[in-house]
Amino acid sequence: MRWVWKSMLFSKVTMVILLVLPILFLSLALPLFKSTVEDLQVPIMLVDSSEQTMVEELVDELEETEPFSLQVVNNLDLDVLARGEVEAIFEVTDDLETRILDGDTDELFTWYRHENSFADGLFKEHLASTLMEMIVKAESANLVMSQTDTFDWDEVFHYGQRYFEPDPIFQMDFQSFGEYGQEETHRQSEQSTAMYLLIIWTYCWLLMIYFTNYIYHWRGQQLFDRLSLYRYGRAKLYLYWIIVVLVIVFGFASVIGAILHSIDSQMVTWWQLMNELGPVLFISAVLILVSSLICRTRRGMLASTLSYLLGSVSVFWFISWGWLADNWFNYFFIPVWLL
Amino acid sequence: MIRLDDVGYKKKGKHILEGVNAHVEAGDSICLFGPNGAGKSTLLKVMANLIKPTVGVRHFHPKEEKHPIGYIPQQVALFNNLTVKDHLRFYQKMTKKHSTNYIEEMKLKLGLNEILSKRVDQLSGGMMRKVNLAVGLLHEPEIVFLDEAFVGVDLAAKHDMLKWLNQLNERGVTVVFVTHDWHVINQLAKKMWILEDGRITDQVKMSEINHLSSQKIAEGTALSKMFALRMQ
Ligand SMILES: Nc1ncnc2c1ncn2[C@@H]1O[C@H](COP(=O)(O)OP(=O)(O)O)[C@@H](O)[C@H]1O
Ligand SMILES: [Mg+2]
Repeated sequence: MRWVWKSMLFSKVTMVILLVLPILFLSLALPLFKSTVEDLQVPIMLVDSSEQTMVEELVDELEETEPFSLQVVNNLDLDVLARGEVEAIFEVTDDLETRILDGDTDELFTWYRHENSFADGLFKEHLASTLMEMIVKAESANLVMSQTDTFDWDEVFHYGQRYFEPDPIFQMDFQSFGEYGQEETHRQSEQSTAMYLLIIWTYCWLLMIYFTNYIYHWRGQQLFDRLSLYRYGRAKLYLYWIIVVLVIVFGFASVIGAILHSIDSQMVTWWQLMNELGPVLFISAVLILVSSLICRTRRGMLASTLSYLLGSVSVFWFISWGWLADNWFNYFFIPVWLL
Repeated sequence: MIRLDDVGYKKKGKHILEGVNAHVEAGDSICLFGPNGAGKSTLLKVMANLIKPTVGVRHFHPKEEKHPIGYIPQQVALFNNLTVKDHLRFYQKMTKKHSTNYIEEMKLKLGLNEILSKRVDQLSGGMMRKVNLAVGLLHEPEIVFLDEAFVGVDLAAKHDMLKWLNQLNERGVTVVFVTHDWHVINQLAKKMWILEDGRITDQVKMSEINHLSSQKIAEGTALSKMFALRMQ
């Protein structure tokens, strides 16, 4: 085992492919990855000159949503907007709480934006819907208080909170409220996780194709002829090959996983990666080995494995774009399992 | 030890071997001789049980499992970036059956001790062939098949290899080999099978070869070709 490991790993080409390509791959993939994360972060400034508790509560609610980075200050400074540091500034009225309690919702905020502002409209919607929740809760608390005096206003107000929490029954409500809220971003991140898994799988698949070179080389050298004289000799070499390949590929995948995780802890955890990608990689290695057993010529093997790769990637995209209906035979292409 | 009854081998509609009847006795040393493409390598593989004949039967007597076979392929079947020592250890592990005395002796006789820590791709052609031979003999086979094991081997290395093979043969190891090298045939062969187009056209004893009638050679049998080859 040790010797097969050594002989497969200690060659210049293998080293280059193992070390340089992942670095290249990462340096290409990471900026892409980072920019998608940063694009989602819309910088917004909230001005609250009288530091109201209602505003604090509102901010807590708002901050649960990822795509905005919220900054709360006491004084209005429009230069920040002019310099493009934030997309928009929202100034809160000094009497937010009393106005909400009264049910008077006109001009609660002053919305300052720049002509270059782009995604701040999303925040406005988000702010409005969050505020709506609070208003509805306040209204219902008012209603309850007018009917009975056994409850404290605050109690009823916070009790209303329950209806907006994502309990299974009320999930539909929640979604309609948070149009740009959690559900959406969650699905988005699942989608891009699958995409990253596909990219990692593609690289691993190519890596494994590269390693079949050894099998063809050994076969050409008549090494398998020689080993077939010994008990399980031939099978052992194939087994060692697949173990070495799996170790390398899993090592590669976990390094990538760790790097992705360190960039965004929500994106893909190491466990998630291994859970979803692990079985797929394992079966891929077996498939590659089988194809190199069936195809006696290197060319035949390359043709079949590369067209499988192409087919898989296409089917993967077609499914995620909704062009292809769910069908059992889609699962013939193993990357589809990642979706 | 091995008997071939009307053995034939067909691949992709082409008869590579046809109607081969032959017998290998324990302690024999047989040279398979013939032009390129005659089917020598294929016959060797059939005898070594690496491939099954498509027609006819290969008998091995008495029990095959108790008589390990050694096969030294035509290609240098080594891992390029492993050292000679690595190779010896790898095959010791692979074959499990080995006596250290025998291995030490072989290392000494083949002059491998000086190159133990060298990587195979740093060796000369002759050295590589020596290692190729050594790993094939590591498990003390009782019958050895060598396919052009002396190609590109310098005289000194050839001398070591032949000496060791002769010693093994004297100890009762059966040797069957393919070569075009007259020097090797002279030193090692006791018998010679002449192959042409997948058939054995002649089986001769080397002791008889000198007494072969000049008539036969003049008639243009395979043997005359053999001498022609030698002179080229
Ligand atoms: N795997 C194969 N498929 C098709 N033809 C083969 C194969 N192996 C050998 N041959 C053909 O069989 C003939 C004999 O081959 P071989 O036994 O290698 O001859 P030799 O060793 O005497 O040169 C050659 O004509 C060769 O082209
Ligand atoms: Mg040959």
